[in-house]
Amino acid sequence: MSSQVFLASSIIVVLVIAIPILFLATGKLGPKNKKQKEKNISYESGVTKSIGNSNNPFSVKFYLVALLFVLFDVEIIFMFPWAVDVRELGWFGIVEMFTFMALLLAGLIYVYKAKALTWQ
Amino acid sequence: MKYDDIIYLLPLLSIGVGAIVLMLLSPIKKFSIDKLSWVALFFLIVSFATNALNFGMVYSIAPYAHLFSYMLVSDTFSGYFNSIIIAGGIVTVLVGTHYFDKSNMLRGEVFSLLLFAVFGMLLLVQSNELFTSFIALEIASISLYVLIGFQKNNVRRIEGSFRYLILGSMASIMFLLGVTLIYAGTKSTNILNIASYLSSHKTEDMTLTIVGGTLILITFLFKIAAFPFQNWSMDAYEGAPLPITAFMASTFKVAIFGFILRFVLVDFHELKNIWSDILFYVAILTMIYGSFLAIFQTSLKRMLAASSIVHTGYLLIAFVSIGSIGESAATSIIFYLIAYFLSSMGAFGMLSYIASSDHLRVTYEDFRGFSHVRPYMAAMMSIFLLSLAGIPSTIGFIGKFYIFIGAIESGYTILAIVGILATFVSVYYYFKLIALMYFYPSPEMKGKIPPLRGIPPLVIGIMAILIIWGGIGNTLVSYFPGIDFLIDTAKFAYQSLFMG
Repeated sequence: MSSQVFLASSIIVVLVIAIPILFLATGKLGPKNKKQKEKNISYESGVTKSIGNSNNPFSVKFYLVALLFVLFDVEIIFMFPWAVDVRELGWFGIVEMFTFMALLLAGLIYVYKAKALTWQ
Repeated sequence: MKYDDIIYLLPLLSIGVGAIVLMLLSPIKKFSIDKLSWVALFFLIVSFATNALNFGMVYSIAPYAHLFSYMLVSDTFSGYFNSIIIAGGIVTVLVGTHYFDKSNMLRGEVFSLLLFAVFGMLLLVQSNELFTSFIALEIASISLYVLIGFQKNNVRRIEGSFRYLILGSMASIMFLLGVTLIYAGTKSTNILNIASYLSSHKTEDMTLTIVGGTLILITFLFKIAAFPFQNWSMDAYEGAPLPITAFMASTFKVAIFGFILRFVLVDFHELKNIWSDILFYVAILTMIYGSFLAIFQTSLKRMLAASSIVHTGYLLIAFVSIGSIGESAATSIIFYLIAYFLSSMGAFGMLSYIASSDHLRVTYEDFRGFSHVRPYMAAMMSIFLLSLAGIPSTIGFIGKFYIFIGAIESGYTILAIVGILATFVSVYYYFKLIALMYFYPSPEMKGKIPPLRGIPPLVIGIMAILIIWGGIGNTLVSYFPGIDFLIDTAKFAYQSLFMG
């Protein structure tokens, strides 16, 4: 084993051990919990009066829409470099991109049919 | 571009198309679970048939090498594993449909997810490149996570699924880190390039590659539920619906072994002796731990799950001996996989059929006097258990025989002894059920017993016949494909690995 590799791997080992210990130690090192009532209420982005605790059922529709958005967002990310190089790639590139789009479109059709986009 | 290469991709393509078609059909109310199961079966059988086209040849081809840049390979080895995996899908659909139909929480998406899982597994045994195999592994695993927790209102299912998801993701991280280190060491992720790099360099210069390979090996040990990484399997197997447990326990294990055999035999051919020591102890501990776990189970499903850990141990025995006797050890693994597939698929399938048609039977005690109520099912169950225990005249015996002989030949006598002891112990927990079914009177049955109907009993019967045929076939009728034929096929599969 060369000394460089040994150095690199021992740094990784030290970090892997040290970081979790630091995380665990923050409870002791950091600010102490003074058991103040105001500090212990749940934090809701400036809303002073919180509504119930966090175990209440809540609507997941926002999350569904957000997930679907991310999916097609990523598709667009892949399409930009393809659009720049589409002339060099020729028919091969077009076929490949449209296969990719068709696969995602199948997913969209499923989502539409499964009524994941209706708000009721 | 050659157009005839498409024939090597057809098994993969038809499963992929089938999964998407099923996904689009499943929200339509008109398609009941029954109809969807026929669609799934159609695509699985098309895939099986196209896979069988190349049967009997020793070949190794990279289909559309230019298009896929040598990421995919199609050879006798992958053909062999493909046929087991697709057969696993077919049996799951045939036996499971009854179960899915009864438990009405399972909707049509089950079949789509099942086909996606099969697709991932096929890709896994065909991939020739580490990132492709990672993606394949994830396609298969994620489909299985969803399949386990599909019944959202059942706490046990959710718990099993969630635990498997968290621990499985950790294993995936290990895999990715391993790939990174191997790439850092060898400048390639293609299995053939890595193999040629390893054979042209000294072992002292390959620390990174060895560490990376060990990390990938850890992922493999996790996915097959070997000793230090076995805890997820009991929860996941118990939480999953029974047909899905059958699919996971038999088929997924086959696919993982298919991948790791290619990885170790081709890729790490030069280094495989390094891991023998680790795997030696892992094999022993897996067998001992699994046996202890299985003895104390009262639920049959948990017992079969624990005994699948013991079977992992047997397979690891042969995996250790690969270091010194490559060909015969690899052949014995490939053969044992088909024996284990038939017996465990049969046993779990039988349980799922009983669970869906009769009133619920869970523990050993529920099966007291079962043979007087249902003689056919009790007989089939006994055949599967005998094969799992490795009693002569079943295929399980032949598989174990080759594995133990291989271990003794390669000098690991201790492994063979522990394996045989584990087999003795396994006789206890398998025969307890047979004894309970046959030697005790049945309790009073309320109501009429529903008659045997439909396809599942037929499929289970065929599997039982195959198990017996694999055990005694050749001695009764010569010149008809039997054990020798299976062993030869396994040998061809092994040889095709080194043609590329």
